[in-house]
Amino acid sequence: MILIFVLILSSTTVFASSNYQIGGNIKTGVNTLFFDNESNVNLYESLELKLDLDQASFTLLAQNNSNKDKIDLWLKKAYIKYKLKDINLTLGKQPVSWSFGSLINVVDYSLGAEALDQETNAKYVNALQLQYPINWYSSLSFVTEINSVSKKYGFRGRTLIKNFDLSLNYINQSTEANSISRWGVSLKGDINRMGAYGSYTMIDYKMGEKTSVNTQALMIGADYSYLFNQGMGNRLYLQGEYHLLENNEGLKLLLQSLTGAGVGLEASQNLLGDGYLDVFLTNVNYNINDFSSIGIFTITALKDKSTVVIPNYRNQLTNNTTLNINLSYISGSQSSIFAGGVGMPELVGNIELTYAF
Amino acid sequence: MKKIILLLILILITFNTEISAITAEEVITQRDENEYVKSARVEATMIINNSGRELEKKMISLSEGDTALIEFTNPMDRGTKYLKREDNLWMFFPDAEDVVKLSGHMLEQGMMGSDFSYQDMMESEKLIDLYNFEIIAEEKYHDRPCYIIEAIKEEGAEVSYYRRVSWIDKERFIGLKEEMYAESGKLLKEVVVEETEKIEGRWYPIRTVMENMLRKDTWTAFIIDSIEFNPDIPEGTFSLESLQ
Repeated sequence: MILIFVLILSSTTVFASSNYQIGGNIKTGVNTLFFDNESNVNLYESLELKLDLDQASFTLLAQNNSNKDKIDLWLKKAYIKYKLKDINLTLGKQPVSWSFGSLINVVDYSLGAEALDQETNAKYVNALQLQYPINWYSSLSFVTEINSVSKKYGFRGRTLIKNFDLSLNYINQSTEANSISRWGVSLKGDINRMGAYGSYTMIDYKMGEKTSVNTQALMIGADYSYLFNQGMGNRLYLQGEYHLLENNEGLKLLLQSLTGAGVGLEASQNLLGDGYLDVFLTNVNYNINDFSSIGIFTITALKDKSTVVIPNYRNQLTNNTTLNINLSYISGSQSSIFAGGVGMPELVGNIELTYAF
Repeated sequence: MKKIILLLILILITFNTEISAITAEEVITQRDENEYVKSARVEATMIINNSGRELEKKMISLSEGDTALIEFTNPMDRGTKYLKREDNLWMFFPDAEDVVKLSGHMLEQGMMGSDFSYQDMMESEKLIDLYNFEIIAEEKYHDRPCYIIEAIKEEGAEVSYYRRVSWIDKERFIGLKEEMYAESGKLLKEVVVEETEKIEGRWYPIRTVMENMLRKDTWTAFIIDSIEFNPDIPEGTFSLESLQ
């Protein structure tokens, strides 16, 4: 980390840049967890400052909430960009994401659940990234994390075939005791008026010298827009995604990575049984007018029908101010996959105001 | 004297005959040549109005043929970029630094909440290749003499509107108003050019207002703050690499 900062600060080209953009945002909000007989209210605010230069990018985030007595500072981005002949090099704290439009992306470098355009902390890593563009739509990439605890690296090839965005990915992460490697292929394009995408992933877990578990994950998804009033009116956006996960010990590790450790996986192990686990996700969004939209996101384990439901409302109040309201509700029995966690709230509500500058 | 008057009348008749003999295709070709941009760099402001409530978005665009790269620069959308190549639309999300190929149906929607669809914004094909034209009237529009030209889409052409009626300035060959219709005959959108300017020898629309006739009390103004025709565009600008 220190080495990266020294490199950035000593890079004269960074500060010789003539083009720069400064900006950021201020957020304030209230987050409430509702339990059986009580609720936990948490007020928070954050300040994000961004500086983008031709050959560098910096983003600093300061966060505070009512449950803490100090401000957390987090350096989201601090990296330099350099072109070495035909290779683009980025070095430093940077987002590494191989998203391609799915709601959950098992093929991504940073394994994690994420809705399109949302950010997760896992994306921001200290890394060296090399990208070799072959033509306007094809490239080869290599990423390696600079991390003292584990070694992680990945390769990605991306191209366009018959208007389908195709990627081939390999990611390897290892510690002294364990290693996880993933091979994945993703595809995204159009079938008539519908967007269509899919991915296939093979995951190999090695725990110690003897234990090795393989898991496969298949995903298919589609999205569609319906425009009212002969295609000139408000928009209804529909997205659906089906995941089929091979069920074994590897799945447990995968689900923990995808959904977070708090989800009731321990309680639901007996439910999983042998075979496969399938999950269905939906994302519906309706533009009320030019400024506001309402939507609902769901994720359902088809085996026990436990479901996470996240309705949301967004309103751009002014040029620079946006209001976001969302709720999270988990339905299902105590032993179900999503609702089986100990100490899980019944409902989570969040109201947030963002001012961009 | 009578001979001179007769000669003058003949000249005037001949002159007038020549003017009215111009075909709709020739008017559209001249307008296309005037308004069609081989390549350009544009800095623009988009004002979205809905029942008196307004949002303002700023952008820089580079275009060449049917390829365009747009970057938004207003604080709320700063860093968001779009790349359109033929029918493919790609988007760059600045926070996550992701490049995602958008589904084709997104091209039909209003760009960033405006009344301009992605296709309206990035449509650079010459209309002469897509429609059949006819002059249906001649009249003054805002004190400018205009041809009123009806365009019906050519069979098999992939266009956003079945029929367009345009008011085209007779002298400057610039469109001043346009109505876009569905095949059912319903008026879908109306575009009015509120301000024009002579730039590098050609008249060009500077402030254009588009009204979606199927939505109540909503319009979007597209204002060109600066434009440079045929700029030097580095090789590789219209690539996924340059989106990042």
